[in-house]
Amino acid sequence: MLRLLRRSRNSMSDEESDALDASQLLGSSDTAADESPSAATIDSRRESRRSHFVFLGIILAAAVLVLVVGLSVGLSSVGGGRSSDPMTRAEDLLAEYPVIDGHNDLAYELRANFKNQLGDIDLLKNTSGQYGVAWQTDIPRLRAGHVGGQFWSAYMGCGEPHREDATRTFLDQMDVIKRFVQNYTSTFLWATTSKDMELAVPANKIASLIGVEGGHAISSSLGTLRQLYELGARYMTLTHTCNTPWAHSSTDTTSNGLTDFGRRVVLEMNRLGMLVDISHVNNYTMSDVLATSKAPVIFSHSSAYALCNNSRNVPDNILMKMPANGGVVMVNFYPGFINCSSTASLEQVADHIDHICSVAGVDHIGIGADYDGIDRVPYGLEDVSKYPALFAELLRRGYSDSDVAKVARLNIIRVFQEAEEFVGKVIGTQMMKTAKVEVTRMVLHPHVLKVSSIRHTDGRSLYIPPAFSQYVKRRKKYLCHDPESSCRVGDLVMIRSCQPLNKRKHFTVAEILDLSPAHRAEIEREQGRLGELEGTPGTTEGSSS
Amino acid sequence: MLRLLRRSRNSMSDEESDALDASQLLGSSDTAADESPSAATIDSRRESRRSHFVFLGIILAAAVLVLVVGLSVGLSSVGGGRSSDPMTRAEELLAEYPVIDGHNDLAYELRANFKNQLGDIDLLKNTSGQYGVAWQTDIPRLRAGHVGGQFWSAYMGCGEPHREDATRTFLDQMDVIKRFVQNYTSTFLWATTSKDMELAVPANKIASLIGVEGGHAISSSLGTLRQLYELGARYMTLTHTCNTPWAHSSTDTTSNGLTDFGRRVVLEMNRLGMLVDISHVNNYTMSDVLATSKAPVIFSHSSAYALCNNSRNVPDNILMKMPANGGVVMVNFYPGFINCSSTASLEQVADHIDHIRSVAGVDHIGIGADYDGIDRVPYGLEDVSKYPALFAELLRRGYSDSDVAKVARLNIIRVFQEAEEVSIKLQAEVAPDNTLISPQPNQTCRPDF
Repeated sequence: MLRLLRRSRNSMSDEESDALDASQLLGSSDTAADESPSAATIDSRRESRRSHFVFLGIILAAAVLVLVVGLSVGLSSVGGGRSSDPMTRAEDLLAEYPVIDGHNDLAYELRANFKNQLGDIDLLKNTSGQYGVAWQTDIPRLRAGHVGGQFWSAYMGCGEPHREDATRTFLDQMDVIKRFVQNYTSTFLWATTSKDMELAVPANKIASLIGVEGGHAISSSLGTLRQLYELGARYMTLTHTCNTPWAHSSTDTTSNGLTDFGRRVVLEMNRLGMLVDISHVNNYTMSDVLATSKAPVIFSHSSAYALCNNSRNVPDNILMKMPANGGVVMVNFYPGFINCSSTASLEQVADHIDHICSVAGVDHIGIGADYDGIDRVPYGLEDVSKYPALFAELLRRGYSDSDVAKVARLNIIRVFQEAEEFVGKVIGTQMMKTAKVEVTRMVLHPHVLKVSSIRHTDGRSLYIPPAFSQYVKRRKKYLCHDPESSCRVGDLVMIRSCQPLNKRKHFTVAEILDLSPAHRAEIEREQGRLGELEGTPGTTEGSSS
Repeated sequence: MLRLLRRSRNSMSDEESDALDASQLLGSSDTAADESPSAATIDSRRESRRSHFVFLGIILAAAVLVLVVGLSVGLSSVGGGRSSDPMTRAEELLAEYPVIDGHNDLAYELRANFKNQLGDIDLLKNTSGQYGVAWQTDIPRLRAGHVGGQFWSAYMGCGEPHREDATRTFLDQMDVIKRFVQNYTSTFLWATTSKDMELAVPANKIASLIGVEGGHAISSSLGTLRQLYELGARYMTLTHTCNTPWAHSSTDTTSNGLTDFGRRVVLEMNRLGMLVDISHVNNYTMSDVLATSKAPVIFSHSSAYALCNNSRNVPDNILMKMPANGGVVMVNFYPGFINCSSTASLEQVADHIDHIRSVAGVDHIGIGADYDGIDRVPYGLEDVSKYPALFAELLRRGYSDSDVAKVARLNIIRVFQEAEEVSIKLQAEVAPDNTLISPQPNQTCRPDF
């Protein structure tokens, strides 16, 4: 009976159950009457027991149901509130991690069709079907495609007239890119660093960088290479469809890669922080570059040879070298490279990504669709608005959210960071194996970035080349790894980004560019001492020159 | 007697003269004896009076002399402590207002002789006679010449091989200039604004800018012009010794100046803030540019036609337009332009400056010696260390200190500042011009992209 009472206590308030307890102890006359129950009472008691059980069962079931629902809702909230529909998930992911595409030839279309006259076309409108062109790129579709960064290709073909004056055409291309970036300044953000790529996300703009497509742009001059870098070029594709005097194109099947001068080009690009792009080169050049380059390299728009044996694609033996190099293969959408035919499907593009993932790893994949540089497109990836569909397919295939973020942008940002080098002055060497380096940079004043374009009376925007006065000095201190403690305060050093060595140190001293006078004197003293020890006049063995 | 006593009081102490006064008043027995002087006493008194006068005169003369000397010393101190020697005055002036020269072809020498390999030459040493070259420029001599700013010329000749790939050669030139500026960073200060020019003085460095010598650098493309500006080019000489498809060189005596496209080039340069340099162009182009340009223009290295009728020089009718334009004629030292012959003198260079001053005014003169772009030099101006001698000559001719400062640097700074202001105004009003050049007959140019 106590059991019965306790069972029903669950539905009673505390006072009631206390009263019940008390009456039990005191032996009230009510309960005394139950001492000898009749059969009917027993039946009704059994019935009420059953109904109580049922009632309890329902409550328990409801509780379990609520728990299950709550858990699943909670778990999916932890997972970011993503719905299970891959397309929606892809859109959500890309909204947070917008695509940085490695190669788009809009600038070439502007040159070929409009002679770089930007006033004749409005990129804010759909460019396909208008003006007699059928383009794949415009601002509405870039936004729909969640494009957050783009390397715009500055390109001149090997067979074009005035090939001997190539440098000038490349300068024109860089000029038109800068002008359209500035004309649509609410959409595009001029970018030259990995930091700019990241800044574009909160600014909700498309980070716009320049890639020079074709080593013939430098006309075999390292000085010209440096000036192109100063103008903002952040990668150079070593060849297009023709050889340069120092590197061999994929159109050349002879066993020639880089010449000695070609190796110097690669090393100078490393020193500048310009990404080396080995799309369009032949396999020997790919090999030579991977053997030479001190920084991670990119394929700005190439796919997998194993799935389509076109010489523009990357063979497996090269893919296997990517982890050691640290670089990225940015997949090209052209059906001729995806399916070795005139048509291809979105699924086949995903197959290429799968293959590169299986051979090189998900850390070495990116997207370089080559839009407006290709005359045919895969079904489902017709233009720059279609990127989410591809990522939806990857999600369907089991790629995780972080895989998607890597392929979309994190890999190329990592590669660019590792390739960037800064020059700074050593200001402290007190920490062990660490040099504190101060880097002074000239950056566009933040106000310039914020100010939207000045509207001309007819509604056009204006391009304002950044005058020197709009640049301001920014100083930043870096802790850099100096394993041999070779730096002294006052030295001018080159530092390079690397994998984090501890919480605060993710740079390393790559090179001492200039010794401080005290350091120079110290070295001379050392050499003098060495000379005395060895009995020979102080030699300059080992001095940096 | 009192007079006598007073006269001699000058040599007495106060107590003694008081005693004398007292004795006078009290009538002492000594002075009473002088009541009736003898003739001898009178003579001796006259003599001592005369000697006293002489003594006084000497003191007065000495005082006057001291005064005169003091005044002259004082006055010359007021004038800044400058000695009257023009050379020393010139050195002192230039120490305060170092020369900004409009044109130096060191970069071309580096290309022609060393293929831009800076490791093969040390600019901290005298470059004349070493390495088999005979250069006029190096750091010790620049310092001796009080050079505080230099437009380094990025140059490619009209007749050089690979003329069709000119842009690339100009990029190489800009690259070598930036590299030597960086290699000798305690001497040179990279500069792209008028402010940089001024900052170099307290920094005791040579503000180093780039001038592109020859419109063929842009290969008739306004986009390439913009990119050269972004790379740091701050003037462009519209032609060298050959025509561009849009402007005519001084080698072309036909009556052609700027084409429509040429006018667009000038206006786009105004918009960018790049100085328009009309050295090397013919007179019609000079005229057209002065009529078109919204900013002051420069002649980076040209002299006066009236004194030497070489087509590289500036005729008087153009000089007369300079005040309205606000620009500056930076005088070239080449004997062929100074004296229309293979030799010239420092005085003749000063004559050119005098002439430009008389026609255009002292606000429109500068120095663009063309060192290391010329194979002959005037006597007395053999290399970049000789600028003070020229300014000493100007001082001798009566140029004031402020005239010297203007010719040395203040005029070109003013011109550059005004060009910068014009560009700021224009950029708020007009968009970048990307018009294509229309194909010209008989011209190899690039109408298409």
